[in-house]
Amino acid sequence: MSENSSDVASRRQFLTGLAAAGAAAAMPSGLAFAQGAKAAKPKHHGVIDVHHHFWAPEYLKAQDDWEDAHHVPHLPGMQNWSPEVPIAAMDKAGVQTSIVSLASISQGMWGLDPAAATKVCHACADYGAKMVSDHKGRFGLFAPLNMIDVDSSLKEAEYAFDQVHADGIGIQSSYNGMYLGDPTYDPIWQELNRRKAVVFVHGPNNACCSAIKDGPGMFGSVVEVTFDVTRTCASLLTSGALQKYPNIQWIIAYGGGTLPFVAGRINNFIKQMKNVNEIAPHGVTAELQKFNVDTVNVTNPSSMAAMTKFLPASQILYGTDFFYFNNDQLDELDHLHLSAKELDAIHSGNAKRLIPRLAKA
Amino acid sequence: MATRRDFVAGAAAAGAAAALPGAGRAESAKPKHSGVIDTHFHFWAPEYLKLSQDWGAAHHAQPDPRIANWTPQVALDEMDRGGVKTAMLSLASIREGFWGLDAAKASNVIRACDDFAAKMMSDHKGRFGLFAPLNMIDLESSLKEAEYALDQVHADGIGIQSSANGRYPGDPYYNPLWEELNRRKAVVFFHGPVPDCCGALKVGPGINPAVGEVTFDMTRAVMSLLANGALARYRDIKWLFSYGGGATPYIAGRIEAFFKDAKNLHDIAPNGVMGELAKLHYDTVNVTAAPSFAALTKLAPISQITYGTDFPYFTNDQLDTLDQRGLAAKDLEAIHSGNAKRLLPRLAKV
Repeated sequence: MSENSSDVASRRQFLTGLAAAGAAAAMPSGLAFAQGAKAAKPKHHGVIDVHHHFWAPEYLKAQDDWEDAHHVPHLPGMQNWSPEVPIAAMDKAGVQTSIVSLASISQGMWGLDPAAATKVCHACADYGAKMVSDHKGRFGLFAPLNMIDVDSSLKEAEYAFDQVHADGIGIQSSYNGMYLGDPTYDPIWQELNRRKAVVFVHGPNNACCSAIKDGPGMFGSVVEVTFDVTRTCASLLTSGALQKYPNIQWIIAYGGGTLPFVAGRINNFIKQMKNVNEIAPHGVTAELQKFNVDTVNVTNPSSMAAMTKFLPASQILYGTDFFYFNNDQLDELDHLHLSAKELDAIHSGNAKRLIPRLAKA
Repeated sequence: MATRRDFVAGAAAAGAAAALPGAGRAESAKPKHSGVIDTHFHFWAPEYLKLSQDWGAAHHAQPDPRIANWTPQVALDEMDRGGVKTAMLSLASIREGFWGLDAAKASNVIRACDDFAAKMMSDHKGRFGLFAPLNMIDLESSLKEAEYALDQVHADGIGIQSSANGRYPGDPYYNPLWEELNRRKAVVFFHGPVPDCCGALKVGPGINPAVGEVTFDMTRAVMSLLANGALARYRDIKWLFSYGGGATPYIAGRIEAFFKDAKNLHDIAPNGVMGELAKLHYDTVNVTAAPSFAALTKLAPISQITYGTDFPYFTNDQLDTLDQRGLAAKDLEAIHSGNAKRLLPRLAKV
C-alpha cells in the first residue's frame, strides 16, 4: 500500500463523517481530493481502468435533486470532483487511461421522465467526450443510456457512437426493477449487437434492497449492487439474449457481482429448464463464461480464486470504481501469484483488445 | 426410476423446478462413500407440510411434488444411495415470517416439527439429527422454543432462516436469543429463504427466485452478524451457514474494503474482517464446483466446511463433484464427517 498517513487520516475523518451522517450510499475510499500527486514514480504504468466514474454538472444536479427530495445526504466530496482529481490519482498509480461511466443510479434515471433523462444523458456524453479530447489518451467513455424508454435510449446510443464516438455503453444492471434480459430491451441489444458494442454493466441502488437494514454501518451499496449485477447476468442468460446477441462485449462490474461463486448453483437450476438447449446450446456454464468482468473489490485471494477458475485471464479487466475505491487494488493484484503475462492482460491488454482505440492512444 | 423421471419432467413442465434430484440412480450398487454426515437436509412434519401448502395455495405458488411426496423413507433411500450415515434435519425455506402465522400458532407448529423429528431420530437410530426451528418473529416465544428443543427433544442445534420479515440476525432485537444460545454453546444453522424484498423481482422468464436470492439473503445474514458485532460478542455459538455462505467468499474483499476503516472495526471484528469470516462454518450445498469451492477454501480452512445436500432439492451427486476437487483424503474425510462430529459430538458416538 502506498498510502501515507495523511491519506489514512483524511480517509478516517471522511468515513467518520459518513457514519455520523448515518445514511451514506457508499463510502469512498479513493479520497483523492485532498491529495497532491506524489513525486514518486508509480510502480505500475500503462494501466487501463475500465470502472471509473464521472459527474457532468447536469448529472450531478439530477442526482443532488433526487437525493434532496428523498432525504439522502450527498456524498461528502462529490462537489469537489473535477477531471483533475482522477488524473492526479491516475498519475500516482500509473494508470494511463480510465474509461468513465456513471456510478450507481436510483429510481430509473433519478426519477426523470425520458425527455429529461435524455437531456442528462446527452450532457454526460458531451462532458465525457470533452474529458476525452481535453486530456488526450487519459480517458475513454462508456456513454449512458436512460434505459427507461427504448426509443430515446436508441437515439442516445446513436448520438453516443456517431456524434461523440464513445468507446461503449455504460448502464446499470436494472432500472425500476427491470433486468437487462427483459424483452423490452431487445431493440437496444439488436442495435448494440449490430455495432459490436462494448456494454459495461454497473450496479444501481435497487429500490428492492437498498434500504434493507442488515445492521449499522451496512447500506445497500456494500452487498446489494453485487447481487443486482448477478441477477442481470442470470436474466441475460435465461432470456436468451446471450445467444441472440453474440457480438455484444459485456463487461460486468465487481468481478461479475457474485457470478463466479454462484455459477455452479445457477447451472444446477437452469440446466433443468425445458428451453435450456435454446438459451445455452453449449451448456449453462459456457454461456455464463461469455461475460468479461472487472476486478473491482475482488482482488483478494478468495474472490480471485473463484474468478480465475471461472474465466480465463483474457476476460478479466482492471477497474477501480474510483472515486469510491482506488488503485490500492493494483498492489493487491500483484500479490495473487498471477503470471506477468496474465497481469499485463488484466492491466491493459484485454481492454486494448476490446477497445482497439486504446491501443493507439 | 420411471416415477422419478416422470416426476422431474412434471416439475419442469410446471415451470417451477426449484431443483431436481439427480437422475441416474444405481439402485442396488454399493455406494462409493460411507459414513457421511449431511448437515443440510430437509423434513416436513405433517402440520408443517399443511401450513406451507396452505400458504402456497393462498399465494398461487406452484405445488412442489418433491415436498408433497417426501417421507422419512424417501429421505433414507437417498441417504443410502449416497452413503450418508446421518442427516441433520432442518426446515426448508420459509416465507412471510413464519408462513404469516402469529407467534402462538407458529410455536405450535414448531413444537410439532420438533416432535416429528424426535420420532425420526428414535425410529431410525443414528440416521438423523435435528437443527430445531425457532419462529424468529417473536423473541420470547423463540426463546421458549429453543428451551423445549434443546432440553426436551435434545436437538443437536438450532436451524433458522437468514431473515424473517426483513429482520436480519444481527438486529439487536435478537441479542437475548444469542446470549442464551451462546451460553449453551449451541450450533446455529442458517438456511436461506426467498425474502419478501426480492421474490417478485422480474429477473427473467423461468428463473426461480431461489437461484440467486437465497444465496444473497444468506450473505446479508453473515454481514448483519458481522456489522452488528454479534460474531465478536457471541464467541461460543458455532455459526453454520448454507451454500458456502451464500456469496460471502466471493464478496469478502468488498466487505473488507468497506469496513476496514470503520471506527468500530476492532469491536466487531477483532481478527479483522477476513479473520472473522474464516472462523465461521460453511456447508457445501451448490458450491462443489471448482470456482466456488476454490473461493470457499481460500476464505476458510477445511476444518470449517461441512458436507450438505439440500435434499430433496439437490442430492448426493454433490459427493461426486466434491471428489473432483483434488482434496487430500484427510481433508475430504473432514468435510464428509469429521468436522460435523467435532461440531456435534453426539454424532461421533452414534
